[in-house]
Amino acid sequence: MIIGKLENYKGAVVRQPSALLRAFEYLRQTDFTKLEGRQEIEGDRMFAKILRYKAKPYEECKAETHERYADLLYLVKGEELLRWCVLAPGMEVSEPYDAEKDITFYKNMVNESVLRLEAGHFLLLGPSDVHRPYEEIPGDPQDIIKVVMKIDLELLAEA
Amino acid sequence: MIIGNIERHKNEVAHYAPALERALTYLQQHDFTKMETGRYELEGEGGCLMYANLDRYETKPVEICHPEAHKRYVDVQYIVSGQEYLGWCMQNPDLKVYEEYDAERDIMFYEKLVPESVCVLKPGDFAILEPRDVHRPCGMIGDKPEPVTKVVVKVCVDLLQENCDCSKA
Repeated sequence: MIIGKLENYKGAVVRQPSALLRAFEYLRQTDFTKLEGRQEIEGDRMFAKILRYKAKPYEECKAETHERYADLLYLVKGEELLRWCVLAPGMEVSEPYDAEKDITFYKNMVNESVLRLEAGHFLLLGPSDVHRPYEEIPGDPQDIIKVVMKIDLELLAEA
Repeated sequence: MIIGNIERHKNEVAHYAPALERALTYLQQHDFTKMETGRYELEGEGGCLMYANLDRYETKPVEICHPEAHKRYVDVQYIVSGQEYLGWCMQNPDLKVYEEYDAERDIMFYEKLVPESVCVLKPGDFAILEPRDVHRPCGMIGDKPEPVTKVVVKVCVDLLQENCDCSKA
């Protein structure tokens, strides 16, 4: 899992596949305040969903993973909590993999980390990153604008 | 910050700079349970480009830990045994300095994290922390200190420049 601020992320530490560079460029150059819904970027291999919602209590959030796409999350407005852990054997599935939605849900997380996301933060999540997003800062549920970019893992495997 | 587990790091969606791959390979290939605490030189004269610190300690209440940042080296923190909280935030103007930067130790400290994210690190987990990653390691989970064995590979930022000549000492 990689977390950082979009504006100063140069990625000296990570050799970025060109698909990731294109994804970052898309995030840097787009004004999301007026966009809604699904935005096609490279057909089915790279697209973005612009989500607008109010952050929710912990009990209403679910832990999930994906298999086909990496998630590149970018917070445009608001602050929320995201819980994360590495996928480990024996994690209990609550909803088995749905290939159409590319999602599996889990009953619980193991040794979860709690990340506080602010506007300008991005998060890159691969298939082994279990994540539980949309959670409110305790006592402070904020209005969120978030971009969820879906990048096909096969695209990321290219140079 | 990059955080993950050493068993799965090759499955990550992005690839690490060569110097970091070498650091992660070093971590995968050594049995630190059989090694002495101390400094191990890996690259460059006296380990100036890359070295590892093997440390054994007890975790502490997070309230008495001060978050830190470095300028010269990137940390690759790796848990051999035990578990701890690693607090984190990005460099930002709201942070208050607790101890000014010490160039010899390559470290500075802040009063506290603003805002505060808290990661759990268990055996096999690693965290890669660049100069912009303020971090607060060694935090106690639960109400009792626990013994931890940790390796921190220090990777000189010079090794991570885009077109660096990694052979220069």
